[in-house]
Amino acid sequence: MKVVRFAFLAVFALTAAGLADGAWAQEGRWAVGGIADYNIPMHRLGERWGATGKFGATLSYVASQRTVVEIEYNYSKFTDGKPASDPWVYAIDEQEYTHPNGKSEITWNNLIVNGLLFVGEENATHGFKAKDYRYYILVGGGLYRYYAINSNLVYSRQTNDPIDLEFVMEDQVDQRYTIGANAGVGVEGFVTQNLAIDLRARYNFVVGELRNMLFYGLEKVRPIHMVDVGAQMKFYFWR
Amino acid sequence: MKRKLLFFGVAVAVACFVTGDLQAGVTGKINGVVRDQAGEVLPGANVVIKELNLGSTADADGYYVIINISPGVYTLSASLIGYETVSQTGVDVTSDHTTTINYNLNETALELGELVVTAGRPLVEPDKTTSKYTVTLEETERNLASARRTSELLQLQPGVAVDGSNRIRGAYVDAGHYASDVAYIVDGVRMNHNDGRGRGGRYRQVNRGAVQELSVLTGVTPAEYGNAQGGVVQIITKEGGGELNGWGEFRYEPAGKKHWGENVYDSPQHQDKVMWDDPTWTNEKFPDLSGDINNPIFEEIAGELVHVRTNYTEWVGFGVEGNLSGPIGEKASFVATAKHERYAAVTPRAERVGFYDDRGSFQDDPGNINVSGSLTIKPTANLKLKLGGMYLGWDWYSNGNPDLFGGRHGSGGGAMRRGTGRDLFLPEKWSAAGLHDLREELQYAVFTHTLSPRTFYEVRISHSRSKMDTLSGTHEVTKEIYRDQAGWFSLGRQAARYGQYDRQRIGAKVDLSSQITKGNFIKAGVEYQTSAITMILRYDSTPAHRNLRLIVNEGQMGEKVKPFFLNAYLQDKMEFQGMIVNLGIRLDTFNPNSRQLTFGAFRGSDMFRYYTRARDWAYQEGSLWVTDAPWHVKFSPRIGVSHPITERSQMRFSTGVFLQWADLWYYFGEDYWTSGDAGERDVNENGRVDATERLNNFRTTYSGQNGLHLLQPAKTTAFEVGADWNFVSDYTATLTAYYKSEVDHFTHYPNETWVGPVDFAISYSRTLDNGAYGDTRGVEMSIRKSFSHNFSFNVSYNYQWSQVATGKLGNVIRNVYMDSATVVHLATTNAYTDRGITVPNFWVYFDPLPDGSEAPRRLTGDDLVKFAGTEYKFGGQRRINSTRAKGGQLGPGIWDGLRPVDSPALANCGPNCSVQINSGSYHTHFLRPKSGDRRNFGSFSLLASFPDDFEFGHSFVGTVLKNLRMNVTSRIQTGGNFRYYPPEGGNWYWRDRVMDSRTDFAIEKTFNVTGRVQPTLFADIRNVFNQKDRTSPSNASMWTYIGLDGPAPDDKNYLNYGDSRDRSYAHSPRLAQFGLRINW
Repeated sequence: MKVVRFAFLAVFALTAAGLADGAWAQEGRWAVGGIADYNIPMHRLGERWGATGKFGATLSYVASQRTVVEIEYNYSKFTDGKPASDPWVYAIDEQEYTHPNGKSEITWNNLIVNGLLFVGEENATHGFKAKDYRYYILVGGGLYRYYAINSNLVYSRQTNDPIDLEFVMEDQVDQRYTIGANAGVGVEGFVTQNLAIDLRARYNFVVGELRNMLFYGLEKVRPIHMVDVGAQMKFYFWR
Repeated sequence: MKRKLLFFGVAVAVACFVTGDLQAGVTGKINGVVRDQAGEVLPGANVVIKELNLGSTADADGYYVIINISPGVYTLSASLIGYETVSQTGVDVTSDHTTTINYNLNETALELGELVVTAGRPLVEPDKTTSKYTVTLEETERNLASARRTSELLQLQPGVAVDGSNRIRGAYVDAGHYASDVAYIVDGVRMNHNDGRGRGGRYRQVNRGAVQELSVLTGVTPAEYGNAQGGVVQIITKEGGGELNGWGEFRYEPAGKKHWGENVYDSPQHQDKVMWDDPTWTNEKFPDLSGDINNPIFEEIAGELVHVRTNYTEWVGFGVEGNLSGPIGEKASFVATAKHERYAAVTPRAERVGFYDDRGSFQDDPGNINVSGSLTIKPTANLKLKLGGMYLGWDWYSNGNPDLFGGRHGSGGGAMRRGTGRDLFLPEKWSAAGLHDLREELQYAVFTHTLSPRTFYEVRISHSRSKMDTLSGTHEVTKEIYRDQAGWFSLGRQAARYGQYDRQRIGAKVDLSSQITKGNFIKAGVEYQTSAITMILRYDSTPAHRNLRLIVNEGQMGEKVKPFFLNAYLQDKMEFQGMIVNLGIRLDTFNPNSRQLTFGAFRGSDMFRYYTRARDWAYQEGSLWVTDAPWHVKFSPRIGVSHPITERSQMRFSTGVFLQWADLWYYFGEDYWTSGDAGERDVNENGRVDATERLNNFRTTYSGQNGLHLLQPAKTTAFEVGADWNFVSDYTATLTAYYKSEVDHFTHYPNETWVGPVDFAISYSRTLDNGAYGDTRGVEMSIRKSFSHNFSFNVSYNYQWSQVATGKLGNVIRNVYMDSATVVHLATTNAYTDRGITVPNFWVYFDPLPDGSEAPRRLTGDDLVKFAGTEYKFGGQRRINSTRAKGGQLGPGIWDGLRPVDSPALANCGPNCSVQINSGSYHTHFLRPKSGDRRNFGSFSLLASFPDDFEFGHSFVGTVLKNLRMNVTSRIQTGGNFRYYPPEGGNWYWRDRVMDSRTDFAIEKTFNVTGRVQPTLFADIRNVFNQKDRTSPSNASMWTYIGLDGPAPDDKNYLNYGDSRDRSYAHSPRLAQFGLRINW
């Protein structure tokens, strides 16, 4: 199973890599990068979890003076979600309880392709020398994988009196490989000719769904929105 | 009527004389202007499509137009003496679309070589006035590995449901009253017909190798399309080219468990009923039931073990499909395709292997075959004759289910099908009621005659037939189910169930298309279709509860009903300086061409309640109670406007009226039963059932579904506004908002009751009524990238509400009653004489005749006192005195819409004399989501394809990638609707269930691409990520409330045995097929 997934992702990456074509001096260069972002859940996702870190790597290809195509993998995990941590009222004794061993988290593993469009003619000529920078608009999309799990939630519909806090439901899993898109802006500053720091902020939209939990006051999450801001260290290979 | 005709005339005049551009439904058009380098027009320039030897000469404005072009990719050449010839390759022509190619020719004194340039398919079609999405031959061929059926190409188009139903924007598909309101049209000939009691519109399978172009029209379709309120799927088949070519494909599906959960023999659903550790249970043998069950299989298996596991997870499957096309001499060509599948059943079935139909449903018949072919003859440049045909045949083991097509409705009659649950151990090839043989066929001829460069006409003659018969193993009596010794698992039963239908249609259509001026393209057509239909279905739940459903003419077995449609349309596609106006009007007429009981409620009277009595005494000339079917005449205007915004964008608006005839069952069907009455009535008391006494105990089914020829078509008024924008490179975005107002839609709510004099009252029967209404509204979005730079993609998304309500004031309940004077008058006057018997206009009782038939008995004086002077029970609740029957006496209120029966028999009856049809109101239901409605649905597909000369990085990488093609396809939809009952109390409301999605991946590599024979190896993996979505939680309200999708953790059965619904997920687990395709 994992082999199939890996093979699929590898093929996808290869495919994406084959899309670009290129006469500018920097054109055709490749870069690898490492990402560290702050991932902020928005809207209803934000009602369940707080912000967390997002880490990943990129493989970039300079397609033209104005365009860089980037394949990005990133990972993040939201923990301590409200479905497991918020108190709730047991209907039998009308007392407030929490889930003693409850856990609620969502893990993301995404593989996306981004296009970095360096707008403005002069702006596009910048970069690839120390202390120079250029800004860009980023548009991307690809495969988003989420795995949300609520475990050890006490079965609130039990009829025990007193409540049996060991009486828990089976793990509730919402998981999907799905499609999503992201868009944002960023600036790429060059420390050296080959080393750049890329700061960006972007909005992520994911076609997905997390189940309702009206008992806990949580409406269905659909679609899923996130904003991430962060930095990337990017190294351009010599030609 | 006069007003309608006047309106039609005015519309025709407007369409003709307002200053157009519209193509024949199955062909496209090329136009443009030829200029020189200085921009001056070049009159007299010749523009020719090389492959077709079809051309045109530029007029005084340099304008040329070539019409009647079959979809395809062509080379278009422009030439003029003294100028360099310029050829455009890759000119893509699609149906109903104008491809504009302008030329600038270089003046030259010398004969130079030809200048060749490549044209691209236009990314924004400025003449598109409504939503239409087209899959070209090239796109089909790039998706052969990932699209196993033609319908899977369709499902990726915006507006088309992704659940396999092929529903378009909330339309109805396989949905009872409407059958399918999406029309499937092949080469201009309708393929699916709604004449099979809700299942008739299902024949729409065209082999992939036959498809030249597939289009789906989801919006306001032009006026040439009728009886298709949901949309149109138009398939244009290939014509053979100048060389012999084609492809053949073999697919192999490895063994494996193709469902979620445990092996069916160990499933928790059996609880403790399977006892593999119990030798008594495992050694139990089939008794000899051949004496009790009339099925030869029981003789064969007597003495064999009952509880036997089959190794169904080890069954492998395969499918083959191929096509061949080529020339026959210089003026003719052919295309032939065939498909046969033997894929393994997911769970044990009557047959181990079978095929998947157009909807992706498995049919367990190893003998299936789906073939098509065409022969195209072009005797001259102006004449073309295309002869085409399709055939699909398969068998089906009847499970005794009452539905004509099996497996969908209820279980009366003892539905049993080997596979899961208590029917797990039924023998293979077992059936409760015989083997049914089903055949679908279509033959057609299209004659095209080009009268001038700007005018042509087409004549289409078609014949199609849907046929089912029961081949063997029928039974006269339904018996109880035999169980194993533990009394749990089924051993078999026999069910009296016999089905036979024969539905034939003959159609003729003439279309005339003409570019009458530069700005007007007129198309007009007349279409006639007649059908010959008979349908007989017998199914018995028990010996005393028997059912009979019929479509026969005037009750006579074997006599077919022969309704006909006569339609006409006129369209003008007009061009005003870039703006396109597509104006059209359609006339639909339908005549059921039958003589029927005027209202369904008459079937509740003593006169006609029994099948044999209605058959023998209802239809004579002079009968008060029947009428000849009326003509239904309806007009439906359509208009679409498009206008370019920039060179790379356009906006459009369209609106139109769409009429949808109900499935023909609901015009002709008769529904009878014997509720608690075994056997027939021995009328002549001779101790046996004579031929005249057969079926004489079948009477109108309480709450049954009968046909009524007064039924009007459902009406939908559609609006759409949209825009296409080629925002960058070859990326195009489409955004469309649509609204469909639906009125006069179909409902079965009418409870039709005979309130008049009656000896024995039945509560009500039912006919279809135009009492439902609703609407559909939504936003549709797509982003497409056409194939270039080795890849393409397509994203489609719909956000939609589709809702319906049944119940409309004054159109829901129909009751029939008479006042006393009417009863007396009708009972004492004569209607007709037949077989020497003078029959009064009204009677209640029958006299037996010596041959076993019955004759109406004239009411006596005492009868009249009884029936004309007392109160009659209505509906078990309300009493209405027949002497108070006039509407004025009943007063206003819930009784309105009185309609007197108009008959000469009532002419001399006096001022208070009438038979009244009372259309009472019924409470209006609140709007509810339509069945199958999904609020969100969409798809994503990505194609990457690398050519033979592809180079990338290391030579090894290039070698691997070249001639490699990959498809990723993802489908997603939000859950179906359900009524959520808040556990903490309060009113229910609608919510939706679980989202489901599936991602497929296909990869193929072609070898020897420059050779004559090109083998391709491929893999096609469904649900590559093994997505597991429980779209029907055990308790949807609990899922919503606390997130519980399985059984409650304190459920005793769950605690003891596990989740009994462990196979209940939206999509199968990951399944792969591997194959070899050879192109030649």
